[in-house]
Amino acid sequence: MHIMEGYLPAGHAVLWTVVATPFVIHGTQRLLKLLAGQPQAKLLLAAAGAYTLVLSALKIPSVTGSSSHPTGTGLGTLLFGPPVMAVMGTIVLVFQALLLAHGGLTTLGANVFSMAVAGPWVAWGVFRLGRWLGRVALFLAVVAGTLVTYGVTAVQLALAFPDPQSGVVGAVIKFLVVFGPTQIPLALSEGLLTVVMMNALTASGRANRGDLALLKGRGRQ
Amino acid sequence: MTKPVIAVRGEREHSILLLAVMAGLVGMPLMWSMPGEVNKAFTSTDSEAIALITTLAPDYLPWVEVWWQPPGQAVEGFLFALQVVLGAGGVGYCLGRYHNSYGFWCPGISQHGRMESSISGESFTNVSG
Repeated sequence: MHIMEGYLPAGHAVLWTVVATPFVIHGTQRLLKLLAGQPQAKLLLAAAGAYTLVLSALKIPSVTGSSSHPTGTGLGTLLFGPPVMAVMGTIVLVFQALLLAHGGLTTLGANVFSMAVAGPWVAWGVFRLGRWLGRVALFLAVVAGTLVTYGVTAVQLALAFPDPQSGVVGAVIKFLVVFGPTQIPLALSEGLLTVVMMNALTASGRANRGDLALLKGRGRQ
Repeated sequence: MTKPVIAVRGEREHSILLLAVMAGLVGMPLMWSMPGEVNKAFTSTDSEAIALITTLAPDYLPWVEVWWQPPGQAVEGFLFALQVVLGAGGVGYCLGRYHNSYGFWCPGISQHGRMESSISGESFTNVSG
């Protein structure tokens, strides 16, 4: 889902960078505030970051006969909220762009917007709407977040490369056909795995539940 | 809070079930073919997207090259594996520390590794055993 280096025209690349930057700055402020106010959150933060690193590096075979990777941003979003995830997702994307030739610096803005902004915010929204469903809401939020990430990527590519006959809308559909069927089973897998991670985090059933403020419904830091 | 043991057991079984379903989701495409499936080479959707760009805009040339490419498939695979290893190690380490700091997995040891139990020697035995 990371748009490869050079595969967005310069204008689009600049535009998406401009769109994504405020989210990352806002997220950085929130992250610093979180670390200053709740230093004990560092460990969970590191766990969520590492989780994103794992999932975004795992190319998983899918039912369509192609393979793709999940985003891994759902867990951090549900623990710390979307602004913090914008920063962590950006770090992972920079890492992959520089060291793995996966994604790129010119397409970083677009990739940050899809994976670290749009996906987390949708996941957050779905979770808030469905909170009464408990763990099922976690699952649905993660699935929605991952699918939206790929949907946004499809739109970004379609805006840059509209179909000569059917225009932007036609191109969106074509890109969605490339990503969608492959991504749906992977999104379901990521949803399940994230619930497992949450189970593991809350396993002691004691004091540490207090840290997971979101799950307790106390709002976020 | 009054029945933590039951909660933990339930969650563990729940988690194992979810992991099994996940393994099925990932393993299924390796065994069966789907009707109308595009290919069976498990190529990355990223490269399929690039192929689509090439058909939509045949004249488009990427205007920037990646500054560094892993030399060959094997090195690329190694780097991705390395990323997974670092990430999974990090997740495991943090989970362990996290629970440990609340005295869940190592009930005799407090947040900073100090012994809390009055029979301190036995706490360590419990940890290793």
